[in-house]
Amino acid sequence: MKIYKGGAFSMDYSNEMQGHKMTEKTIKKFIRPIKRKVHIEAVLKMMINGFLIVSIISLILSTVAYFIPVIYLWRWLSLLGFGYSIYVIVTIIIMYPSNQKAIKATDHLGFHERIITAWELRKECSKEARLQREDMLNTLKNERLGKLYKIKCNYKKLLTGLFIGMIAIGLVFIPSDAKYEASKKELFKKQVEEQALSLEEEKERLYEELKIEEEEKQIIDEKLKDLLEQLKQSQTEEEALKNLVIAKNEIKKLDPLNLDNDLNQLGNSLGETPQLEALASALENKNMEQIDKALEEILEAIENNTLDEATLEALEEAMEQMSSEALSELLDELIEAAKNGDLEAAKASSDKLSSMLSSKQPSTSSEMSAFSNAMQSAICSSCQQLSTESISQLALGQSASGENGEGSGLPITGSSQGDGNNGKGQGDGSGGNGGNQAIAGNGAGEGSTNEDGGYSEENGTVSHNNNNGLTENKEGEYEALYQPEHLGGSSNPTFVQGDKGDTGTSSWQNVDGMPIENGGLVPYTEISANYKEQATQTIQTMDIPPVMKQIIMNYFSNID
Amino acid sequence: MEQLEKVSVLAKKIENEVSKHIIGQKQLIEETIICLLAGGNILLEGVPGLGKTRLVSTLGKVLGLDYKRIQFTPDLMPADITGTNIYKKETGAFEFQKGPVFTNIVLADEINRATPKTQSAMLEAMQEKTITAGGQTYPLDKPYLVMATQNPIEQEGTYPLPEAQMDRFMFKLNVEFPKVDELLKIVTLTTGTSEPEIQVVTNADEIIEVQNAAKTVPAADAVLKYAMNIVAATHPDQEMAPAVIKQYVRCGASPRGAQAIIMTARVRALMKGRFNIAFEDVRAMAYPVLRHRLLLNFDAISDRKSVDSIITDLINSIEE
Repeated sequence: MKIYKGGAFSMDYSNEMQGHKMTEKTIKKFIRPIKRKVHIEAVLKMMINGFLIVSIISLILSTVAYFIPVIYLWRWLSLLGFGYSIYVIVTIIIMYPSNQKAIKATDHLGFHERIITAWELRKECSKEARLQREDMLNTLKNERLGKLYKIKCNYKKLLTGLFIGMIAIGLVFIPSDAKYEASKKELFKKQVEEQALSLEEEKERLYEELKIEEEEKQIIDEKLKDLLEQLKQSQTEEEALKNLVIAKNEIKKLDPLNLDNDLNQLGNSLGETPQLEALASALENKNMEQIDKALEEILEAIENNTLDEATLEALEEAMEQMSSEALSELLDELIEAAKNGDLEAAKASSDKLSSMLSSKQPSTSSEMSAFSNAMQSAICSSCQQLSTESISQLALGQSASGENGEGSGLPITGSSQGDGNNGKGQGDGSGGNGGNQAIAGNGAGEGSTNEDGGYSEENGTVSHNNNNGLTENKEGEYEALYQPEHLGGSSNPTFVQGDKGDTGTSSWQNVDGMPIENGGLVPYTEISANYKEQATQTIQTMDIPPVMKQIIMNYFSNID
Repeated sequence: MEQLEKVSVLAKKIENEVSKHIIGQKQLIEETIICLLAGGNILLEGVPGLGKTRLVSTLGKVLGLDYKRIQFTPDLMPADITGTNIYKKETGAFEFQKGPVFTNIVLADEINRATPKTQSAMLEAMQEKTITAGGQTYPLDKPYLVMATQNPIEQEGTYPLPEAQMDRFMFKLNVEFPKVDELLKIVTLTTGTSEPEIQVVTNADEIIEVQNAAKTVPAADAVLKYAMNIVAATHPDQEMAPAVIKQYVRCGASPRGAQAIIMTARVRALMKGRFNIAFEDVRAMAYPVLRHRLLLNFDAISDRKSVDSIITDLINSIEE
């Protein structure tokens, strides 16, 4: 604080020092209502600015979501809202004005810097300081400062923000193709996460039930963690199913019995090769000594360069059939070493093989095997749940358009099966269990389908799976997989015995040697065998996801 | 009564008395009093016949001070102003004969008509309040005020004041043509049979006392900083200089300008009944202080940009 000391001024300390604190307190008391209002004003300003920015971002997000599928839109908007709330709270805390700021704001109300000067002179005892303080107090004492200060609010910005926000919210509720796609993706993601969670829970349940070593648990946890991560990153059903198949295969590799199967198979494959007979026999007997001896003989043959081409070919063929990666790799190393005549490498591979075979723990193998099988089943179940929609479309081979869906199967002509529930296709033709069997059953005849599979149609009523309200028309993208010769079109009439219902029609035809009233008889096995054969040929030639192939083959196996 | 309080009372008395004899020109009178109480010199610019001389003479009488008028002409010599040594036959020695500058209030009429040499004779008087002649320095009476006048329209044959001398004037005040009603009052007052008598309201000692008291008016740091920013921003090479300064000003105000603003702002605050300087005081005093200190370039002349408008833009660009 600078005062020109042009003339002498008195430094009267008596009773003045007490005045200092009074002045400071008095000034703080005066500016308190202004401080509050300045705080509110600053917070309002920041809030309105933040609100405008949030509205603009929401509008951009909503607009983008209208045209491009954006998953979890409401989550993003909620996050935005939450972020804004945090911002408001932080603003309230940090925008609290200092005394200086409040004093400046008060002076601007027409007090001509009296308060700031008094504040700076609050510790001064001079005549001039006292006079100035008195002047300030006299000026302020009758003023109601709180009423003098008017909070300024940028209503234009606020209204703009509100307007933009309303448009953004409105846009969110307007449906569009992109939103439909996004909701499907969300549903898919949810399903994938549920399946991942259920697999995780299944793993924990199995840990409790089975006695699995801690080391093995660690291996399983590591493997499963990566696999489930990969699964969660799936963008499409196909990818998810593929990742589940990969997971299943990886879990299968943990099954020690898997290795046993491989060794049995290896033994069987090598038995026909003279140079490998000893090894084959040792593997069949599961005798480590014999195995080691047989491996030594092979090493001798490599050293003497007496291992013939046929033997190597047999080893290669056997190696390709191994499901265990580790075993397959060791055999490959051995074969390479044999080809190159590298005895040391061959010995190393042989030692590793011997050590791998001898380190199998029979005591825990059953637990691990049970775990592996249970997890594989769980994974299969997840596959089925995830692929229900895909399979229904593929198996039915129909496009779904409209809520009822028009089937694109061949019309049944000539002597045909009855309409109605029975006599349609194979099986009992009744859907409703949502299973593959029902789906295939329906697809075998003149079917009708909805968007999701697992339908049964009885006398025109349709029951269908919960599809989360997605009822938009959807064109099927799949062609018919199989048009069996016994269905519709120009084919030889085939008859399946069924119970005649109250509705529908039936026809009969004389067949030599057979009673033909009310339909005829064709061996069921003939029909199913034909189906199976056609299905096998078709899935080998067409581009179908592997897990679906598996499921189809399982289906026919179960029928058999 | 406290000395600070005396300032506003005295200023009011002077203003009231002078206003009885100078019709209108309220702002001119107020600023003249401010400059007087701040101890500065004034440069008055206005066309002839607006009452500049009358103002100075009235002021001198009201203040109870001695007043002299010097009509500057091209043939005026420095000695005519300061005085000279005259040979005294009686004593046989040279005696210094004081010039018209030895008074309390000097009216240097049409100062720009005298030669630069003669003009510079006023320099010492204005700044140092002394006159040096014949190797001897003679102090001038206190309080001392130089009021110089300039005619803005007849520039032929004149010698513009050098910047150094311009800087010694605390204020440059423009004398405006009076309004019609004011003109009527002027005519009524001055063409009648009698004029009211001028009352003396103060004396030299009181003025000196008040001048000293005015220097103690406190100023908040923010206000001082604001004044410094304004002065610094008058220089086009400064970062904070606004675009208008960079475009139209050749050279800005010196530190004397900053001193002048603060000194006069103190007096103004007291006259307004306050015991502290406000931003408003700084803004109000910026005009008379900077008017003659900003050297405009050719762009300003060709664009007919007035210095007051430049000062307005400058003030608007500086934040408090």
